[in-house]
Amino acid sequence: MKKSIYTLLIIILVLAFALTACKPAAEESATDVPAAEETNTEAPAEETEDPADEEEVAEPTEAEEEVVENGVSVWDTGFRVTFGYNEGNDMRRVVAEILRDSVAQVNPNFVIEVQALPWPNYLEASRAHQLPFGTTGWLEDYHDPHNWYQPYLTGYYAASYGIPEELTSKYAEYLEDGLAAIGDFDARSAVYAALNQELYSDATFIPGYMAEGRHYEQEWVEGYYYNPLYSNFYYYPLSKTDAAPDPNTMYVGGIGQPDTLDPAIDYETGGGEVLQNVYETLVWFEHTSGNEFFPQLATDWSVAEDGLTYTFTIREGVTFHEGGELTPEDVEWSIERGMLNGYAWSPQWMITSPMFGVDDVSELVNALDENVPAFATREEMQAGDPDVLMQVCQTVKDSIEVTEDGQVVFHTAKKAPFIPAMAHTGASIMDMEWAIEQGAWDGDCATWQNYYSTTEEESPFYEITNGTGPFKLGTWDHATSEVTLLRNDNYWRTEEIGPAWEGGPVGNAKLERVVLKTVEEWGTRLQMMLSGDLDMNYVDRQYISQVDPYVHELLLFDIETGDFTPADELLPGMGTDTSDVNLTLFKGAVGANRVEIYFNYDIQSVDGSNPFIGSGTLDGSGIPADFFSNVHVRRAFSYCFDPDLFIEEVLQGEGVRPTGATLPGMEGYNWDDPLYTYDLDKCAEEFQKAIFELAD
Amino acid sequence: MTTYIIRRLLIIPLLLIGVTLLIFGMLQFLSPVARSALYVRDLPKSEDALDAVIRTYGLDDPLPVQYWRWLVGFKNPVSGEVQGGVLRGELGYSHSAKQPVAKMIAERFPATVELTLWGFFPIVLIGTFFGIQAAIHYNSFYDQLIRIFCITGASMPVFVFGLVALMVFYTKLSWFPPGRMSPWVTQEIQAGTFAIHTSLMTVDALINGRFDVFIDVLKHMVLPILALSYISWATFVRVTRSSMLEELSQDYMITARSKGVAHKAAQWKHAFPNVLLPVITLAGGTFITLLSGVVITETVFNYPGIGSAAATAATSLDVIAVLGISLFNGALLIVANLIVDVLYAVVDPRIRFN
Repeated sequence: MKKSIYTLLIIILVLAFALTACKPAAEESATDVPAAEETNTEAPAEETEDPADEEEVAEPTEAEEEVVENGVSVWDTGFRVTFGYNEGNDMRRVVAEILRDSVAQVNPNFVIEVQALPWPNYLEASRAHQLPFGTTGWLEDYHDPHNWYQPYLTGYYAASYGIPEELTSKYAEYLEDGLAAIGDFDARSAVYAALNQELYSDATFIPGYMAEGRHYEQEWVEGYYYNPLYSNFYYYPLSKTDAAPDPNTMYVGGIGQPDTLDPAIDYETGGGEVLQNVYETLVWFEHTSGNEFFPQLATDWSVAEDGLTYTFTIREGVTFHEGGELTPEDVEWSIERGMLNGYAWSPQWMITSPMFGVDDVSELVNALDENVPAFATREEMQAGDPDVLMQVCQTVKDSIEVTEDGQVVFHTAKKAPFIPAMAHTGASIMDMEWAIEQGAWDGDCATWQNYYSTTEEESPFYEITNGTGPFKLGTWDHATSEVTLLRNDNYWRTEEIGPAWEGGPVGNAKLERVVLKTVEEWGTRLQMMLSGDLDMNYVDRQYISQVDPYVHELLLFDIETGDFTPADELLPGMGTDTSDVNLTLFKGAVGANRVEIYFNYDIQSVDGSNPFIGSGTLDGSGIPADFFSNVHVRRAFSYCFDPDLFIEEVLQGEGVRPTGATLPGMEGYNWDDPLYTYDLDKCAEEFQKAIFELAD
Repeated sequence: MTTYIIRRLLIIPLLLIGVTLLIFGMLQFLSPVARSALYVRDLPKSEDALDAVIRTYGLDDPLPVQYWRWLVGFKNPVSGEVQGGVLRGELGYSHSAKQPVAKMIAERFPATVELTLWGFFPIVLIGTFFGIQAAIHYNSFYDQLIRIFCITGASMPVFVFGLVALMVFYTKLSWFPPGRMSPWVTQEIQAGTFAIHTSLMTVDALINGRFDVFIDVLKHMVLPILALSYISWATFVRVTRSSMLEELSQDYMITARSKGVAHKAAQWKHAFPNVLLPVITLAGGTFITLLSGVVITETVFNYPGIGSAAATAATSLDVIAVLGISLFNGALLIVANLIVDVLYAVVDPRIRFN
């Protein structure tokens, strides 16, 4: 017994010795790796630094080949930073770990600590702009490049991440040019292509991924196709075969209910799904396309030479669910009410920005009466100068006019995506008389401020609807979180009018009823799908392996046509179940959202301290607050990020890495645009170029 | 007896104040943004709006002032409306349920009450029965069988049991579906062919004379009740069994037997009533637990009661809703405790006189 312990000790000692002896050798061999092998992830090929030197952080001015005049080199000092993420968020954790491992390979003095934070702490640190790194996910409002660039480069995210003025003002010029070129695909493409070059050169952020989607449905569901701009599903083209249990009702399993059913203020997909089936807009998305439109409640539209005046001819013979007839006045009132009743967090900015060049009507008031701040509260608006309020209201009303022959003319002030805004549920057309009866603003300019900033539940349309769409609202049961849509048996799109797109549906919807169920517990939702009680089901990516065995038909997305084609064979893990559950999987549709990894250019401290940046200076045990303002640091991190590993770890490989900042198919999007590839040599090189001035 | 009840009633306000103080104390851990949901429906979205809300509702006033306002409500100087006020039944706005907390509780509570009423008796009666049987057949095979069965139930996580039960009885056999009722019942309610009177679906079904609805609703409750029973029986068995064993070994049992009382009669007439006391305590606790919503069971079976509402609120960090439900449950607990105590006194005269 004793003997064996001694043997074990000796073995351990020998092993330990062997390891210590081999370590320098291994590093040396790594330094011999020729630069050609760029994909080598083993160790950096940087041989200029001796590990022994690095441990002495002391005098950066004595650094060898880099001429450091009055600054310190990140490479010499090293750094230590904490990547905080909210506990349970695997995506953020993976980003953190990839960066941590890469930079540690490049230089052992580069330390990223990965720390899981409880949600409240994460939220607090994030709101205080304390976190050095961030990730952003953006789901577009409408399919236009501006909607992608603006938040990241000059808008919300740019502000949250403290992108310096010199960059934002440069980007803003591009964005202005891009807007001015609306209508001219090539000119616009040229502007955005140049902007993408800037973004690459600035390494403004690290492009992450666009996730590929999976849609599971029962084999008896018919008519599904993918449109990236729909909020979940548009039920008009969908149906079930007679073989289905309960063939006239569609049961859909989800995880959330609407915020509100007032179309002017709802701004999320749960409500959007109901609204896009119940209400209609002047134009609507062509089949699978996010940026081609067909006239819906309009019969046609035209744009004037200057690109600022839009004229819509309103469809006749359309009735609302409650019986009213659609009139051009309904159109005018609905859009005006939206603009005057919305607020900063409603989708109305999409309409006010082309109409007046502002995000909210309060900005118009503020320009004339500075006592009313931009994005005012209702109380602040009510306290404004009555004459100014009257004048702003009149301006809004004058911007939309109804002509004698029943057309509606929109006089916009600024070039901005307008037709896409008219397709958003925020521009849904309501029945004016009915709405006023329910307590909505009656169009009187003396009272609009009392309705300004209408909130979700306060709205008279919180849970009642009266649209023109193929479905009407049955019930919204809060206790069971269940929404029921009933077929509109008097839908206006008859055989004579014809389908909206080739092969599109005509007449009344085939489904009599749609039940949107909220079932939070995944296991329960799965069992409901397997028993046939759910026709379509939301499946979180982590659970796909539990559903795949029941997939007996697989369709793959074709990015060229936007359609799905049947796959020749199932993928591994699919179709292994032999029970009578047969699911169909539509796989690979690239969604209208992408994820980016962001740097905080201006890391804030609270009460003089920030636990995430260590010492707060470049002394090897922290980073300065403006660490990421240095373009070389950003480039270095961009090279040190392994996007393939990221997509593999987070999406099980079901994603693609985008270039630029927008979506494929948009003006200026180019798959061949330069991207930072995973390259530790170049990462090291950029870190060596990152010089920080010494503070005093 | 009356003085006993009056004495107990007098303590209630004190207890309620204690509960409100506790909940109010917890609320102070929230930021003013989160606390503003006590009075306004929408969280302030800009810094200016936030300041305005804090000013208007005095969310930075001294705590006693805030406490009083939280209790009785706040008169909005602009609109003149009284907002909030726990005593007025205003518990704030739940962002996860998209409705006021009080309304959410009012809509969800009947489902929980119904589940409690139907589930309570199988849990208590069968659990007690098992316990008595185990004691009577002390150390026999039967005793061991009951104990193993019940301990398995107590040690199994309810969501595991729930999901397995769903797989077997719902997916495979199609006997007992999750939810509260079938879609066709919902459709009848929506169409107005089934009238809602009490919101207790089984009771309403009887009032409407609709046996099919009655059966449907019962079928939906079978699995949750089964799951709840299976995890609760162990406690009943343990308590009943040990106290029955204790009673069986008491001198009065020997006396009874020696007087010629039959074996069974001695067990049930003499020993059993004494066993009832701990059983009532336990049953009271179980009743209150059920009534305050069984979080995991309701979530697994998608049963729209207080418990699943609490779970949704908690997972979406809707603290106002969670604390609203806690306050409601706290008040419920106090009242239910009173009832149990009175029952206790009825059963055991000794308590009244102490």
